Amino acid sequence: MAALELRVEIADWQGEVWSGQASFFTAPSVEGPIGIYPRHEPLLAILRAGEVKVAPSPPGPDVKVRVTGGFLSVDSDIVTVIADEAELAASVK
Amino acid sequence: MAGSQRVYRARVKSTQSLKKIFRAMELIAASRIGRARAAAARQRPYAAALTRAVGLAAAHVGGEIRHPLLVERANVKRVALLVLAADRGMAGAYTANVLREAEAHAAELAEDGFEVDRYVVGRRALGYYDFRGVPVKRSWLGSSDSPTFPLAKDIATTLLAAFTAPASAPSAVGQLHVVYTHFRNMVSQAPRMVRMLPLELVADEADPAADPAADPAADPAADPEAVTVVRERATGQTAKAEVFPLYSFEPSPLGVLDALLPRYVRSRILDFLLQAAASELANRQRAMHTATDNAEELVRKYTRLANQARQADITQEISEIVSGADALAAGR
Repeated sequence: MAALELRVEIADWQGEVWSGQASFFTAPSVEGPIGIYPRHEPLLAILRAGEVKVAPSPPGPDVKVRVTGGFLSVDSDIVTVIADEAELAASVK
Repeated sequence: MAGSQRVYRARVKSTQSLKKIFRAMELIAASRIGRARAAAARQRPYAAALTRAVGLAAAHVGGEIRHPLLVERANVKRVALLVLAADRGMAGAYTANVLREAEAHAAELAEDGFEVDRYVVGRRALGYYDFRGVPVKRSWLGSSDSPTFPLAKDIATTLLAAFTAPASAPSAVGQLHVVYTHFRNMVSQAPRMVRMLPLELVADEADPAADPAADPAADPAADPEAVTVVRERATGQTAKAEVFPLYSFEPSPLGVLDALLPRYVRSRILDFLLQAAASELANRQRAMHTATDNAEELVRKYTRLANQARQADITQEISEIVSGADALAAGR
């Protein structure tokens, strides 16, 4: 049995910005920040400008991606963030 | 005569330098096509995810979706025509083909009683309309061969504003049509007309989810309008709920759709722009390749003519000398 993990993919129009396994994930939805753990129900959420934060697995420093808006879909532990414009915050990899 | 020889030599020289320029432009176009196609490929996952999400949201809203972007505005007899052409020439008939397609379509629309608002990308197309005194509502110049997301965003924002403007507004349009050059492959590109707005949710566009089958159980927190739509549907049929996973939506299916559709339009426009750019570059590469070949042929022709002229000069000189010597000999 694989450990409970999320597969996170963050992309904007120029292609993938970051992808990888994660244990926890937060994003700024239009209705307030949302956090997602593995086994989250399927979700489609609109994002506003802000910072997407990913706690990678195996544990490491948080991955932070600034987005200018976009949307987020969660389905069977696959999290896809489609940002209008996304930028990996400095000091990651 | 020495004169014609010199003229031919000069032509050979200038044609040779032109050839070098054509060759350089061919190579530049060739290298940029790669970049344009890569940009189109990079954008694809984004577009695919977006299309899927639109399909999902539409499915969960269910029934007849009365979103402003999906409804034709019967009361507005004006159509926006977005024409994607090139900023620079030197691309064979690229811009001419696009404009011919656009004007044929505009004529059809005019026949059907529509007024046509032209929106133009590319300096060449703007020049064409300016010269003919055809009004252009708005133009975007300067990056037809390397379009960017901000450009697509700007175009989409302008056109969506025109589409959603109140019917009385002077810029309001009831439909949006796009004429661009479809990039099929490196050797084949063809101008194409697409009806962009109002959007149609077509089943085969993404996945079965795009079919507006109802999921009555979705999202109790939807806004009032959405709830009535879902209810209408629920009384009709109830069995189709299993097709999709039960998504929850934030803020609501209709709210999500509301946010996604403009993005969808934007991503389509970016796709059109990227395809047009790749087509433009492919056309330019081809045109410059032909120009290089022609220049080569001209160089050959002029060289031959120059040699001929030189030979004629020599022959004439010899015959002058010989006849001079003859005259001297005869006079003695």
